[in-house]
Amino acid sequence: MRKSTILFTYLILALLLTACGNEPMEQGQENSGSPDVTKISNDKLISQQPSNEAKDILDNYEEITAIKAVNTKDSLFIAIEVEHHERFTMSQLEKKHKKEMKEHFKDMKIEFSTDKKIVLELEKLEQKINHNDISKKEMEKKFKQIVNLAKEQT
Amino acid sequence: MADEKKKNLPPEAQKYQDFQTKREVKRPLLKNCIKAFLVGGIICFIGQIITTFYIYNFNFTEQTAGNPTTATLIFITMLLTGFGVYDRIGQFAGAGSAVPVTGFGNAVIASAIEYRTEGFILGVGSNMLKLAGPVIVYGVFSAFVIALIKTILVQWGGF
Repeated sequence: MRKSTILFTYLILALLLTACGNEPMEQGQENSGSPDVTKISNDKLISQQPSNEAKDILDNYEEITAIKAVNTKDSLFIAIEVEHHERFTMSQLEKKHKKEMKEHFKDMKIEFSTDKKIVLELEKLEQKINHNDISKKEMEKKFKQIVNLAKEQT
Repeated sequence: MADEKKKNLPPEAQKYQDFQTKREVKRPLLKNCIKAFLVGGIICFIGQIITTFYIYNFNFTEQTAGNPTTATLIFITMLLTGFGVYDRIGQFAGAGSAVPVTGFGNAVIASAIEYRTEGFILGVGSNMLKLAGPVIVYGVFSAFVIALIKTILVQWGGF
């Protein structure tokens, strides 16, 4: 009985101490590195100029750790990842940045997401565009698919 | 309220109650809390791993990955309950194993197994949700109350 209590105390102590020890280091790493952004050259199938512009703007915010963006002729899809503790205020952040993007790209339809899946899918699409692995039609189809995926509720 | 009840009891019963409160083995409240916290946390951690797995490997978003995760966790619980492992986890962790969705699954499956001998309709069918039914009733009811409060705050409070 007593042995297990001692073991338990040690376990709790270990958990607490490691948790406290790791946090500042991780934060330091996150702050020192810039967000995960890959720019796509503009001379691809559909010019990715608006996407790159959006990445430039969002790059200035410290809380954003990754930005993925792809655009077609008339719509722009941006997905961001935020620092973990900022997830508590994620809906506000999403609203704020979406509004900002809408104001900046007035003539485009803006889709905005903070979902991990959308980040992954857009990253794949970005890479395909970058390597010229995808035709214009396929790209538009994939873009539409991602838009629908982001709208799914259940 | 407890004191009032005690006053109405005959003196022997009062004496006995005093006696038994003295002799009673005290519950290790803090230890139980820590156990529940850790085991509940581990179950949620497994759930998070499953969610991440679905997001990375299937066509689910963070929003939609919750449903298959719940189903998978309940499936795992079904196996563990059938093999008699979940009982031991429940004995050790208490609320830590009852509060996550696995506890709900366990409540349904355990009663289904228990009433198997009474037949499929009057046994399994009617007794399966005996314990889980109240969870659903009060879950729906409290969701309704919360929705009511939120609506009032948003509509009239201007939040």
